[in-house]
Amino acid sequence: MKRRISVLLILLLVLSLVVVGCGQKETPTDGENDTSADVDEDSVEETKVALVVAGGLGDRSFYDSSHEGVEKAEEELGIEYKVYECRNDPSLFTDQLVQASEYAPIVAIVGHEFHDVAQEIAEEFPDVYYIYVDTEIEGIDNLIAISYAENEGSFLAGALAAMLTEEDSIGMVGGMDIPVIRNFEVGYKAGAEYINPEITVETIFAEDFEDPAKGKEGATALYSRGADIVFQVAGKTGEGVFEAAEEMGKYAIGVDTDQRYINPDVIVASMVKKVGLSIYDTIENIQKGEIEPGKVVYYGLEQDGVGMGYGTDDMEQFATDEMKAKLEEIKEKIVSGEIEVPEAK
Amino acid sequence: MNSKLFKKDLEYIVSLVLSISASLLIGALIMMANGRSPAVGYGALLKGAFGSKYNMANTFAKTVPLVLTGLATAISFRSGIFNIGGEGQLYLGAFAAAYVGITFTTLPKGIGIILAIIAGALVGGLYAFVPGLLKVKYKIDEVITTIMLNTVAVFFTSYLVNYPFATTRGKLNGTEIIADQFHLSRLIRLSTLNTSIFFMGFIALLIYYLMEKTSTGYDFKLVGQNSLFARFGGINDRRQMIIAMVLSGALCGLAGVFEVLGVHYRFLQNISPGYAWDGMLVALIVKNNPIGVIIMSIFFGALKTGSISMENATSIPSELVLVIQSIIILFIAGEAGFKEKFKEWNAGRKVKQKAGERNA
Repeated sequence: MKRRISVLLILLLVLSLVVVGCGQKETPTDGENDTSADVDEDSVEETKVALVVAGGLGDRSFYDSSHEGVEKAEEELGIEYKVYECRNDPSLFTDQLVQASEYAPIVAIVGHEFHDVAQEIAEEFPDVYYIYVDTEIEGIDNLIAISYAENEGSFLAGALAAMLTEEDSIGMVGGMDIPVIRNFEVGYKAGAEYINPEITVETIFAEDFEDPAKGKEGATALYSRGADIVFQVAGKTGEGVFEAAEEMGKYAIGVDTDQRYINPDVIVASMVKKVGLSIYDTIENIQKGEIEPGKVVYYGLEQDGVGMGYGTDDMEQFATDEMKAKLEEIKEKIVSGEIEVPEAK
Repeated sequence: MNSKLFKKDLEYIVSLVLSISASLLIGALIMMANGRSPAVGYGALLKGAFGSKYNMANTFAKTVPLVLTGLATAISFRSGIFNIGGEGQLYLGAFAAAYVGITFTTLPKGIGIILAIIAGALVGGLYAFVPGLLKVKYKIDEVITTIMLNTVAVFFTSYLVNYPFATTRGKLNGTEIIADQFHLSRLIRLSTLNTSIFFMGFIALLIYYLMEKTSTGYDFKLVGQNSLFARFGGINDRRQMIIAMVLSGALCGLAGVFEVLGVHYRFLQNISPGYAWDGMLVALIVKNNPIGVIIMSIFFGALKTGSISMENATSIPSELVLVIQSIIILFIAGEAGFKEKFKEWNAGRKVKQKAGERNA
C-alpha cells in the first residue's frame, strides 16, 4: 500500500513537472529554421528584429506593450522577430544583448536596467541599430533613445483619480523607488492636486516588478488607510493591486497598456505608455531610413506617446464625458505649456 | 588516504553522478513531452556553455560568485553555524567596494583594488559577525537573524543607491561608475569574464587549505559535528563558530565586490539575482566539500549560460534548467534514503540467491 502511494506520488511529481514545462512561450520564430538559404542574405537581415527585455513577458503591462510593438511590425512591416528575456537577472544582460545583436540588425532594448550594458554593446556592434526604451542616452551613433513623459500621462491619471474619489484620498503602488517610477509619482500627485489641492496622495513601493502578492499587500494597506483609488505602476506586481481592489470593493488605475480588460469592474482607466507604438514607429523609420540616431526621441502627451485609456465601449464607463472633456482640456494646457508638470530625476 | 573515508567519498560521488544523470533524463522526458528533441536541446545547451571561447568565458564568469558564496556556505555549515544571510552580506560588500571606488579616486590601480576588496570583505564579515555573536552569546537562532538581515541589507543599499549615492547621469538605480583604475580588466571580448576569476582561484585555494589542511579547519569540523564534544576536547567552540561566520560573511562580501569591480563597475540596486542562494545549493549538493563546490559551480554556471543559448536557439524555455537543478537537489536530499533502499534491496536479492542455491 505504502509503495503504491509513493509510486503514485512520484508519478504526480513527474506529471506536474511536465505540466510546468509545457507552459512555453509563443516565440514565433523557431530558431532551427531561421536560415532560409535561398533568400537574399541582405534582405533577410534587414527584416529581423530582436526584442531584449530586462524582465519577462506576460506582465500585461510594460514588457507586453513592447512585445505588441514588434508583433505589429511583424504583421505590417514583414519583419521577423525573436524575444530575449533576462528575467531581471543582471548577469544575463550582456549575454542576451550580445546574442540579440548577433541575430538581428535592429535590436529593441526595453528596461532602464540596461543603461551601461547597452552603451557598451552598441559600440561593439556599430552596424546594428539599437532602439532603447526608457533612457536619455545621447551621442551614440547607432543608438536611438526613447524617453517618455510619464509625468505628463500620470498628471491626467492623478486628475481623473481626484475627480472620481469620494474620500479625497488616493494612492499609488510603485514597482520600485527608482527614477522612472518617481516620474510617474510626481505627475500623479501634481495632477491630483491640480483638481483638489486638499487631496491626500500616498505612495507605497512594492520593491518588485514581478510579484503580484507584494502589489496586493501594498494596495490593501493603501485602501485600508482610506484611499479608494490606487494607481498601479508596478508591471506584473500591479495585478495584485487589481485583486485587492476587487476584494475590498475599491478602484484601481492601470498602467502602460490599456488594462481595463483585465477587470473592467474595478479598473476605471489606464495611463497608457505607448512603448509598443514607439518601437513600431522607430522600426518603420529605420526601414525608411528616416532616423537620426544618437538623439533622444521624446514621447509626451503632445506626441501621443502617453495618454489615458478607457477600455472599449461595451465596458461601463466610470469616467463621465464631463471628466474626459476636463482631461482633454488639461492635456491641451500641458501641451501648450500653460500647466507645467514637475519632473523627477 | 584512509580507505574507509575514501570509500564513503566514492559512494557519494557515484550517487551524485546518478542523481545528475537521472535529473538530466527527467529533463529529457520533459522536452519530449513538449515535442522537442532532447538531443537538440542538450546539444544547444552544451554548445552554449562550452561551444566557443566566448561561451566558455561566459560560463566561467558565472562561476565566480557561485564559488565564493558556495565556499562561504560550506565553511559556515561545516562549523555548525548556518549563515543564510549571504545575500545581505553580498549586497553590503558590493556597496562597500563601490563606495571605495567612487570616493578614493586618486589611489593608484593596485592599491585601490586591494582596498576595495578589503573593504568589501570587512563589511561582509562584520555584517555576519553580529548574528554570530548573538548566537553564541544569547543563543539567538542564527538562521532567523541572518535571513532577516538579508532584507535589511537589500533595502538599506536600495535606499543608499536611490538617495544619497544615486547617480546623476542617466535614469538608473545605481551609484556613479567607479573610477577607471578600479575596473578589473575583461579577458574575452563581449564577455564579462574578468580578472576576478584569478582572485577567486587564489581565495578558493586559501579556503581549501584552511578547511582541509590546517588544524583550524579540523576544529571547524569538530565543532560542526558536535560542539559539546569539541568543547570538552579543548576547542573554544564559540570562537570557532564566530570565526566561521565572519569568514563566511567576508566571502559573500567578496562575491559582491567582484560583481562591482569586474562586471557592472557600479553598485546596482538589484546587483545579485540570488547568488548566495545558488551558492548555498551548490554547497549543499557537494556536502560542503571545497573542491566539490568549485566543480559544482562550474556545472551550475554552464547550465545557466547554456540554458540561455538553448532558449534562443531552440525556444526551449531556459526554466527547464531550474527544473533540472531542483531535481538534483531532490535526489541529493533523499540520497541517504535511496542508498538505504538500494542496500536493502541488494541484501534481499542476495538472500534470495543464496536460498535458491541451497534449494538447488
